[in-house]
Amino acid sequence: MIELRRFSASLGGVAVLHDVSFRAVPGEFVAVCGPNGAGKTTFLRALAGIVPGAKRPDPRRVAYVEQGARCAWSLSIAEVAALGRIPHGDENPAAVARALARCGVAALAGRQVDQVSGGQARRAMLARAFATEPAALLLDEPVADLDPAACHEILRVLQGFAQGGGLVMAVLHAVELACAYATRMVVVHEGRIVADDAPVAALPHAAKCFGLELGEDRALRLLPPRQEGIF
Amino acid sequence: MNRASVVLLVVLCGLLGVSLLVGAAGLGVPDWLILWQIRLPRTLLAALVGAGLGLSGAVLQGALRNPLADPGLLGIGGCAALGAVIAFYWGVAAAFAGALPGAAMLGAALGCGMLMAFSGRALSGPSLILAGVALSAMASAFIALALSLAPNPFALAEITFWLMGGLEDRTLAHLALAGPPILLGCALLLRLGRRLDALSLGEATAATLGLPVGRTLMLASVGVTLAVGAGAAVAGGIGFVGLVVPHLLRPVAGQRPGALLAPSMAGGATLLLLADLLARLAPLVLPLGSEPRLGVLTALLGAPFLVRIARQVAP
Amino acid sequence: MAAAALISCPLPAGAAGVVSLNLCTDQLLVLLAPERVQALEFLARDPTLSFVAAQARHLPWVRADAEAVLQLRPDLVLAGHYGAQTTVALLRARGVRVVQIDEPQDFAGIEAQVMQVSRLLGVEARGQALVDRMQATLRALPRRRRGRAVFWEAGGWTAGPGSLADAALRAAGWTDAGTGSRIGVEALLRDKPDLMVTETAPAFPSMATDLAWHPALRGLPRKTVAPALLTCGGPYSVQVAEMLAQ
Repeated sequence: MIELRRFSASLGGVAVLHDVSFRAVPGEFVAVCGPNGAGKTTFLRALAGIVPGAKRPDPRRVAYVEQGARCAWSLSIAEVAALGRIPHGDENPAAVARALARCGVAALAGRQVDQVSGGQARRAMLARAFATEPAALLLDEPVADLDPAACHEILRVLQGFAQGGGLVMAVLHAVELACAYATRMVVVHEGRIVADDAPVAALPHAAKCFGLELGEDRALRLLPPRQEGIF
Repeated sequence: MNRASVVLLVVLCGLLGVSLLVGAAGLGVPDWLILWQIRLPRTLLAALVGAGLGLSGAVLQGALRNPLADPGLLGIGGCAALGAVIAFYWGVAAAFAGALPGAAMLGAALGCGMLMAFSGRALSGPSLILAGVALSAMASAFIALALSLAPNPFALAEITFWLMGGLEDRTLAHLALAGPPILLGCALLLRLGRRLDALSLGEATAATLGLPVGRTLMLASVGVTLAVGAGAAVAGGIGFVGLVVPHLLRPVAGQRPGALLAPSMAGGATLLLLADLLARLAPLVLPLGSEPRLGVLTALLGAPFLVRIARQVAP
Repeated sequence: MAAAALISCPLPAGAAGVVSLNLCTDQLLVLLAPERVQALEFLARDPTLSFVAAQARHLPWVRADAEAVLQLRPDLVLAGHYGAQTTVALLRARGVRVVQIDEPQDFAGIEAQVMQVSRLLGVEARGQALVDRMQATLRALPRRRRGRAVFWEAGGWTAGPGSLADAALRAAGWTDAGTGSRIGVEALLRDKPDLMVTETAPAFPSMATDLAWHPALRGLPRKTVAPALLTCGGPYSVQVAEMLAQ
């Protein structure tokens, strides 16, 4: 459904992606992991079609949320979400309301996006992506500054989206979360995909890229209630 | 059209009427010749030039994602005036009608192009404003140079018009020259509303929403060039209208760039018409030799706003 | 540059050389004693400003610069009270004889000045001839009271009482409705004068002179005057009064 074929990209003369090929289909929740500077963001942007040379997908079917997405103006959360209807060229307040509810910010619809917490603003940006009612979501670090509960909440929403027939690709720093929610993990290292498999299988490769060891411990965790079997 | 636009339009119509009754010949209905040949072109030009400036400011702010953007402050007005100066004093303007606004539009296009190129390098907000201020300073310097080198020995005395604007003694011919380009430019700019909304999420995200970013910036440039260029050709350099009007209207019309376009157009017309009325009233009330410059009046109004906005913008 | 021009126009033996640093004195010098001219100011060649432009073009010119003037070793330097003041001071410090001439604001003033300069140059007879012709022209003007007139200069400035234009208007029988300050087109139309006098349009494009051709002014009776006749008051200035009296 979305794919790259032998794609290379460079930023400011430095090669960032080397001859990368990738394909994903609806129903998958793909976590993109790897060290800083590996090229994860460029990889996602290439799939979104905004890197020179990449094919531009249909904006009504693919929604992209960039890392640290910000709105230049102090719009209300409802207005931000409504921007997601631009590819369709219609207003469709029902779709916008659904998106706001899904991301848990329906109650904040009238508040201005620069006057709510960072996490709530991040959710507003996600609501914008959902408002497009796309077939695929490309998200660069969607849960980066969310508290643990919000983290789980959003990841569950994304999981539900994928299970409902959508495609989610999310850059996630927290490898553990990726293992808990994603159906597939892609490990990017120095501009190349070094692992592309079920999360548990890809985990050792991820560990190697980080220079860390894969180990088990009995650390205390904060888990969403009645969610056995995540970890 | 939202409520803010409607209210502004009503105020504007009122001001248009009042403006026809104010002039050096005194307050009240004047001689038919004065009304038709002097007050009418001046009134309509103030409204048109102001509309073009207000709308251009709103569009530039949306396109550059910067609340300090203004065609005067960023040097587009200055470049337009430079084009007009070169065309006028070297006789090109006399060659054919339309050469004067044409040259001004060429200047404005160059200024716009340079600004869009700066913005494309993802400069931070303050850096973009600095680049614009530098462009404006260069344009002023070149205007002074051009006037001092002009074959007309009295050209340099006219520098206050080109740098600070004015609408005294404008004729119906000026209206015919500047009116159509300004209206065309405004028509073009008014259609960019939703595109500018998309740009508020950044150029990358806007591109993924299906927005042709490069083409949008180009359309904005063309519209601003037409509106600001033609305005500068007949009214000289007037700044701050495009800065103040959107800023004043945001609390009323909303923060969405698209929602500000029509109100800014009406608001710009209203503001400049008010300033022009003040310019005409001042010599009737104070012992002034001549009318105060329009650009001075708008700067007096706009500078405090500039300070206020600049303090709100995070460094 | 001045030296090269000097070689092409040698002075007659025995005549004292005169340099003029001011447009007004340039014109008087050329009218009274062109053979004594060592150098004029550059503006004397501009037909828009100078009545003697055609003759001045064949005469040498010099920058109002002490060094350049000293190089010419003039016997007399004529200058005005404004402009080139530092040059004048430097020349006097070097012992050069500099005489500063006023700008006349009426015909009596012009006559006095023509006589003053002709005495300086030692050509009183020529000066007297010019003055006699001036007075004859003025005496011949028909004595008729006409209406109100405004002399509209570049940029909307009107000639007011005490100016040369005002003197010319009154000599021709008009009442001067000008004030000496700037008035706009509308104010002019409010108190419509019976005659509007403007300067002839210059060869170069100029916003200030374009104003005189504002469409709203087309209905007013109008006469145009070459600006060179009034920029500096001289014997030729009576031509303005003559034209206005027709």
